This record gives sequence, C-alpha cells and structure tokens, in this order.
Amino acid sequence: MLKRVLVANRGEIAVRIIRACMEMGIETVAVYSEADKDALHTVLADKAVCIGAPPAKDSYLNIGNIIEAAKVTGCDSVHPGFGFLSENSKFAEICEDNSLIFIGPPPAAIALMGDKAAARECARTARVPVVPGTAGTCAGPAEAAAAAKACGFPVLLKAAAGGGGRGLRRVNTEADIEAAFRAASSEAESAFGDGSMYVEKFIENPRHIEVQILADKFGNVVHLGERDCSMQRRNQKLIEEAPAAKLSGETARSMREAAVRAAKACGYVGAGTCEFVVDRDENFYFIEMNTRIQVEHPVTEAVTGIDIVKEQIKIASGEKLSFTQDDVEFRGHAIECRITAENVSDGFRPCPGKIEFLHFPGGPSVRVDSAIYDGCEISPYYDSMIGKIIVHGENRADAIRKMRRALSETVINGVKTTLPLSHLIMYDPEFLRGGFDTGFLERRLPELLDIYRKAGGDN
Amino acid sequence: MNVEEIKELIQTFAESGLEEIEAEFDGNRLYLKRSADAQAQVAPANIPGFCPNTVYTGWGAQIGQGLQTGQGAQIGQGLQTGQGTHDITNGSGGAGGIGVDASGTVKSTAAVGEGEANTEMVKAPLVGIFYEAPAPGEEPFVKEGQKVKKGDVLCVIEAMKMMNELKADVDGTVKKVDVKDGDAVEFGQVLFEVERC
Repeated sequence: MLKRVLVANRGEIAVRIIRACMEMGIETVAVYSEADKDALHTVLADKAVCIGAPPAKDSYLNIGNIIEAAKVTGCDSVHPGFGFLSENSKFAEICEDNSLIFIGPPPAAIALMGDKAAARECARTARVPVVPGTAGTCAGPAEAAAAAKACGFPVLLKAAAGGGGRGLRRVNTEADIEAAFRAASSEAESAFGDGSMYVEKFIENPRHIEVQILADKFGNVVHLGERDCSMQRRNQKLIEEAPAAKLSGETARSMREAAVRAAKACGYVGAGTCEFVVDRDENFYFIEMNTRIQVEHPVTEAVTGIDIVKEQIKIASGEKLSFTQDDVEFRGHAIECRITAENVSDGFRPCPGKIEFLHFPGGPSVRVDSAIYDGCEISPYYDSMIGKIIVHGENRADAIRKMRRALSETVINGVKTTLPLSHLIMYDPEFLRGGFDTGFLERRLPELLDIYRKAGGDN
Repeated sequence: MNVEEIKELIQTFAESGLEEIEAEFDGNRLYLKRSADAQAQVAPANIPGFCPNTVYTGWGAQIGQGLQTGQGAQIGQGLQTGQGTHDITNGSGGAGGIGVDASGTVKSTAAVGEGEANTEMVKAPLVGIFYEAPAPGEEPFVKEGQKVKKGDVLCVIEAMKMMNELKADVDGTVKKVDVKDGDAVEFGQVLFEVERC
C-alpha cells in the first residue's frame, strides 16, 4: 500500500483525497500556491509545500516544483485530482521517471484518450458505438463533405487535438463545409499545433449520460453504473444524478457493457468515465473518456457504497479489485448540486470574495464536499466551484425532497452563488419529470431567473 | 541644538513624507508627528512617488546635510541602526501641519521599517534541495558576514536533476543564512538575508 501521497491539486477535490488517505492511514503532502496559504487542503494535509505564485501556470501546473515537492518530502505517489495536470500524459510519465506512482491510468491510455480522433477509433474497434462520422481524420474538405453527406447534415467539424470549443464548427449544408473546414483547421493548427479534423453527425440537445468504470492492473474491469449529467450550461455541469432517470434498463445495460469494452480496449487502469450522448430514441454514442476522478463521483459512491478515491489508491498500490461486477449493487437515487461562486443574474460572472458566514446542511443522507470555511477567501485565480451538496434517497422523488431540504438549510454569505438556481430547479416540472436533455437550462433559465427576481432574490 | 537647526529639521520632516520622528542630541529629545490633515496637504506636493523603501536613505542623507553644524551625523547613524528613540527636550514649537510633542516616547515606526527594508530577503525561486557549495566537501559559495556583489552565486538548488544557481541581485553583506546544506526548500522560502550596501 502507498505510504505517502502528494496531492497535486487544491480545493474540494484535494480535501476529498486527503480525507480518503487519512481514513486509510496514508500520509499526505499538500502543495499550495501563495494564494492558498490558508486553504483547507494546505491545513488538513500532514505537510504542505508552497510551489509557486498564485497563477496556476506558476504553481498547480508547475510540473518541476510539484515533482520536487514530492521527492523532497519522501512521497511515493502523486494524486492529480481533476483539472490541472490530471489528464497530462507527460506529467504522468515524468512521475514514473522520478519513481513516483501516478494515481491514474498509464500515460499511454491518457494520451490515447486525449486524442479525440484516436479515442473514437479505439472505441469503434471495441464495438462501442460512436457518433456517425469519419473513421479517423479527413485528408481535406472534399473527404469531410463526403463523410457529412453519408451521415446527414447538420454535422460538427472537430479538431482531433481539440478542446474548449476551438477548432469546432457546426455545418448545416454542404455548401458551407469547405470554408468551415479551412477556418476550423487553421484555428486548430494555431491553437494546438495540429490541424487534423474529423466529422461527426450533430445531435441536437442529446442527453449526456456517462458510465463510471474501475480497472485494476490485472485486467479486471467493472462498471459502477451511469450518471446523468444533462443539466449543463455551456458544457458546464450543474446538477448530476445516479442512476439516469427514464432510461430503459436495456439501454443502460448496453452502455455499461460498452464502457467496460472501451476501457479494456485502451488498456485502462484506475478510475475512468466513458461519456455518451443519448438521443430521443435512446441511441447512444461514445464521445470521450475522462481519464481521471470526476467532480460528480459522489453520486456513484452514494448508490454503490464504493469509495472511488480509495479504490484509485488501492489500484495504484497494485491491489486487485476486491469485488466483482456481480458484487456491485445499486441502491436508491443520488443527486449532486455543484455550488459555484457566480452571479446567475449577470451571465454567471465569477464572484470571488470573502465568505462572511457559512452554514452547510446536515442530517441523514446528506454529504457536503467543499473546501470553504467561515472567513475564507474565494480566490479569483482558480475555478469558481466552491463545493458540492450530495443527497441519497430511496428513490428519485425522495432524493429531490432531501435536496430541497438540504439547499434550504444552506447559507453562504459574502459571495453570490448558484445555490438559488439549483434550489429552483428542484421545483421545475420538467426536472421533476426526469429524462430532460442538455437543452434544459437554455430553455428554462430565463423563466427560472424571472421567478427568482420576482421573489426578491439576489443570490 | 539651536532654533535654526530645529526649524531646518522640521522643514526636512515636512518634505519627507514620514509620519513621525524622534531625535536625541546630548540628552535633548525632539518628537515630531504629522496630523492626518497636514499629511493630506503635504503629501501630494512633496512626496511624488515616495515609497517607504526609498524614504530612508534619502531622508538620512538630508538630515546629515541639513544639520552639518549640529550633530547630523549622529542622527543619521542612530536611525540607520534602527534604534529609533532619541530625545531632544529643549526642542519645542511647531509649524502649521506638524504637531510637536516634546514629552512623547513613541518609537519611530519609520526607522524600524526602514531598517528592515535595507535587508534583501533572498527567497527560493523554485522547490528543490538547497546546496551551499558547488560540490560536497567544497567551500560554501557564501558565509555569514561575507560581502557579495550583484551576480555572485549564493547557492545551488537542485530540481528535476538540474543544478540551478541562485545569484545575488544586490551588492551587500550576507547577514544570515536561513537554511542548512541539503535542506528541502519550498517556493518563496527565505534562504539568505543580505544587507544592502
């Protein structure tokens, strides 16, 4: 078993990892930027090392300082959390070169899944359905046009090395494809140094459903069921639940099996997530694999009773999975609301500041993962997510009632947060019916905000 | 200390941007303190771009020059070592905007702050292992009390299998070495205290 873990992250996920280590009797070393001297992760870890100035590129992305911090404090391993260096295959390699166990998949699996076109091909060879489109990348606009016609307009032109919406174009007609191809390709060339493109059928407002998997170093792969992450605003998830409501058992089973096949095909080890889009007819298509722990992992932990972070650590230590697929049982329904320090009335503008007063909810089946405390500062340098509230109910209706109760108890003064919006969603008829798609917030946000304003709300 | 000298000191104080000052000559103590209103009037006109780090040396030099007939040199000295409590009891009187308190014993905060400001804290620019010498068993690059010039190597920090030389960015004297050979150092940790000269 690992003896001392360097936690290469900050915020609630760093605290989450430190908590798992504490319970396992593993020592922790936190790293922190000059802005995080008083942060909870810095205080909770057995030891903390300052690794740089506040901007992430100088500290939480500073590979040299993080590796040195691990070495000088005698760590045997590094947990990257999510974001920052978690899906950087070069960082995982450097950890290995320095005799540090990277708590995550092998660098080759990270690199393979990081190349979106290669990941599609890998999934396809594993008989995992991918969004209809090109096999691999297109040689030029003509090939892209042919592929687009074959799968039907509208299509998405995507950069193989893409991310963050760069090198991405929606094309509605054949006439537009050549210009769009050249523009997106040159954009990708300058942003990622790689202008190769592929074509995917555009699926309007699908559901976003993902499957959690765990794989050990002995080739055992199990899934922990699916999560519905369709409640998004501009690709930022707001509310997640497990299992997915109104998804047929047959479809769920097919998706779970597909995720396990994809993990096996890429030689996966550790905790990972296969993301799928699901259309109205429950056709599902693999879009990508996230090779890290995810923000929404607690809903899966709630319904399976499996501590995913502890499993990551056990797998990295070289242990076999202690359970089989048949041992995994699903119980009840879990919902997570992310809390971000943002002003929902002002285009979700981030709201850094000082927490003047804080009261988190408690009671049965309520979990709070957060790194904020009374009087702490929300730094403008990092992500605006300041915590998550997770509830576990006997069924979806019970979970919703628990979430309403938990949110009504919560008080966060000093910064504006998305809490009131989440609270309103818990009463929205479309949400209550379940099975909504990723267009939910775009459709419902104006009315929800209007209700909020009329009620005198000022988050 | 005569009236002319005191006037001159007051004039210098008024132009300095300092909050308060105490001075002592032969058992005589003078205490000058600026009121909030006066500061508002004086500050914009007389201290363009003045910051505490630059106040000290400039101010010390002004006193030294301004009180050549008196004991300016002593004042300069006294302040430089940061002692800060000097009395001048035959001094009284004040001009508009400057309050004089002959009996006060408030320490000169400016002097203390400036005393520290003369010391350069050399901090670790990266995480790694601190080495005081170019190789094991060799003489350290610098020792306490040693004079260094800007650009002189102070130590080596090993990170990512690379030896990174850390160079002095001021001329001065190494007052203190805050870490030991072979110590792990974190970003921003103070390694040396160098007194500028």
